[in-house]
Amino acid sequence: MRTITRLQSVAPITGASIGLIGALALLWITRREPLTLPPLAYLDALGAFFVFAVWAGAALWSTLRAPAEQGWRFWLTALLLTATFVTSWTPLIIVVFVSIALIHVSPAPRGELTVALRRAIVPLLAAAALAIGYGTLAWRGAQNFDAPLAGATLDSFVFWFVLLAAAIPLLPPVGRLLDTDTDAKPALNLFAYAWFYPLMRLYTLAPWNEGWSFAAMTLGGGAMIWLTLGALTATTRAYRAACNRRRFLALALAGIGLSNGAGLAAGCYAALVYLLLVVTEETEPETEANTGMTVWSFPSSVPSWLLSGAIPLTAPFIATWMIVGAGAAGGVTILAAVAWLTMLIGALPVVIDSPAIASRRRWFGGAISLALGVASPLTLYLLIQPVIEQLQGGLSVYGDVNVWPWVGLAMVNSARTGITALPTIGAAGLMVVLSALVYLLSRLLRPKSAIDPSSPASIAYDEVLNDLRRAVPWLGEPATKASDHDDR
Amino acid sequence: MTIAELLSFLGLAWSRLLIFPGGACLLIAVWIGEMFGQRRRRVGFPPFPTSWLTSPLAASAVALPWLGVALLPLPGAVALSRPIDLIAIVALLEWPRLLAITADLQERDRARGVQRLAAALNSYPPVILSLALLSQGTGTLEVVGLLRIPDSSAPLQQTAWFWLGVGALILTMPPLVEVGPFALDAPDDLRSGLRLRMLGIILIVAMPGMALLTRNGADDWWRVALPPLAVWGALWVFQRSTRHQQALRWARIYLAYNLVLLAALLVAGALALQARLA
Repeated sequence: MRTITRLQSVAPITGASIGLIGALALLWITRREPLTLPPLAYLDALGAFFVFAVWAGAALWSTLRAPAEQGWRFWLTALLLTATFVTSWTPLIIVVFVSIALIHVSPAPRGELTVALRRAIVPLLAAAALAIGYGTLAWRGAQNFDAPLAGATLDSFVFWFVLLAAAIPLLPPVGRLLDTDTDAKPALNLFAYAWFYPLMRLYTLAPWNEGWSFAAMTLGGGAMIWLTLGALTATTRAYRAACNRRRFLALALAGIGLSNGAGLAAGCYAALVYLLLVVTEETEPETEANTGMTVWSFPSSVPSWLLSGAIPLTAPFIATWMIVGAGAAGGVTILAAVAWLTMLIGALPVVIDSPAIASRRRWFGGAISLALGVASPLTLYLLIQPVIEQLQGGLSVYGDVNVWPWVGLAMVNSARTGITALPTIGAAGLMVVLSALVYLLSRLLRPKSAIDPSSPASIAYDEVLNDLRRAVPWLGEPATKASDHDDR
Repeated sequence: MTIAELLSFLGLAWSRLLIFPGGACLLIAVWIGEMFGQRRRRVGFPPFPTSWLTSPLAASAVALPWLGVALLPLPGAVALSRPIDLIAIVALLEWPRLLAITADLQERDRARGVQRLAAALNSYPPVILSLALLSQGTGTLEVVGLLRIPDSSAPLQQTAWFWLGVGALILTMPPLVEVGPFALDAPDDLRSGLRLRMLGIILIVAMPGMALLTRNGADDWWRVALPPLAVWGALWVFQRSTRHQQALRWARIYLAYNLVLLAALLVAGALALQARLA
């Protein structure tokens, strides 16, 4: 009995690890050029990247979360997505995404079908839009997207519906649409970035026209602002987390819309950051008794800071930094400004409400965020650069990414002039030197601790928000009047 | 690209960290700043402040802006093999302010925390729009772009966006460095970090001025020191003349200012796009 229990607990991790090894092998095989195995299989770097993202997410989820949180829907979704990322057959792509939407319609007693449908409304709508877009492609003769004349079937009608399918999962949970089905929720949340695959795949067919790029960028940029302000002004922690992680999906959409190498790199990297945020998110408030964990003498707010995007060299910061650089390199300075603003404002919910206790999952998440950020040149070089090279035919020359594998990253414009540069590994080396200096100073000067850092007072987020609304005109009117406001 | 490049980067950077600009700015902001701060209470040099070394977070409030200042490509600093951009520098300099807000909101002084958070929110839009406008003039977001004044052969538009961006950035400084109506005291252990942050921002704003004065190869020390001192002087005058005014009134002025900057950025973007499509 004990053996069976142990097998049940290690089976998810083993399965996900096998999937991850397979994904890495696929990345290696496809790093130079796509591999076609007629009639259905089409292996290329874009598909391999998405397969890697699926199984890396599944592996992280299995490692950091309880096995009970993964139902059959989770594993079936992962397998179906893997199948769709390695095929060129457009009807199969439609079938897979529609199936994923349908399996998330929870079984409901008679009369409650509408409730079940409403809970799965987001994937159902996205699948319907995708079915129309890709269905039109298939109907016009592009049953295989790598067929010689498949590009001729791509027009604005197809594009709008595929864009719609990618944009619908950006919607945060609102009111009664908030999904409470614990079995269905993980796969929907974790694999939400998969809806970008059909959109990115359109670059294989043909270059986008400027109107399409503009629409995707506007949608992504607008959603970035909306979700960032939503995260700042929300009064519940769950909604703030939902808005915050979806901000990275919006960022990815804007990056994909830029139609340049730098934007695509930012989009792919943001998908990885989204995945990290979903996996490390706490569904319940941490309590000292069940989840609290301390690491050396670091305060428990450290993991939240590392996942907030406030600290340079962490993954959320790098994702936003990349889209700022990609926007500026592509000549879309307003998108760069919007992304930069959301980077600064996006960290403020953690500033107002940094948790007093951090779980093991958050600590691991913080460590991964730092590692992924510092090693972003290697991540780009190994996982994302092949995607850009293989989709080059569909991309514009306005903006590219320069990877200095041992130093950092840079975004360059069409004249190869540096627009942004961040020596991530170099700066991390300097931070190590500075930390050593600070440690040395603290040993030499022996400071006396003046402030007790323990037990921070709990603050009411909505009270702070109300006070803030009175002092920042562009945040809008406060909901209620607080008595202790200083209106200096 | 080999590991030798990383070693060369780190090898060149140590003097920036310890001597100039990092070490010098640390001394100015932390020690001399402390002396000015306590001038009414003490006579002579105070001991080197150590309150920022009492906890890892407080130490990081100095370490991150220290790195930010050290990476500024000021005239006279050792050249690095790889540049860095304003996005990273601004984030490094912003860290102590975020920590100060959190500390006040959770442990010390909630009203001050809200005021500092409001100052941050009132400063972010104009500072981003100003830097974006400036980047239209320099063609880059790298910090070194602040030292590249468009020359006479550059298009008039580019020169205009550059100087408009510089002017806009100077006007953004009150909420950014918290002076005048936005002035706030700081928690003891974060005061050094906040001073270093202020010094870093003053240096960034003064860089076009340094470039202007050292344009013809003149490298006298006063040509580098004068622009930051002038900015500091202007901030001091602003502080003295507006410290009793309402922050909310100025926040409304900055809201209107944001709209003007946004309009300017849209015009600059539209003209750049038009040139690209032509």
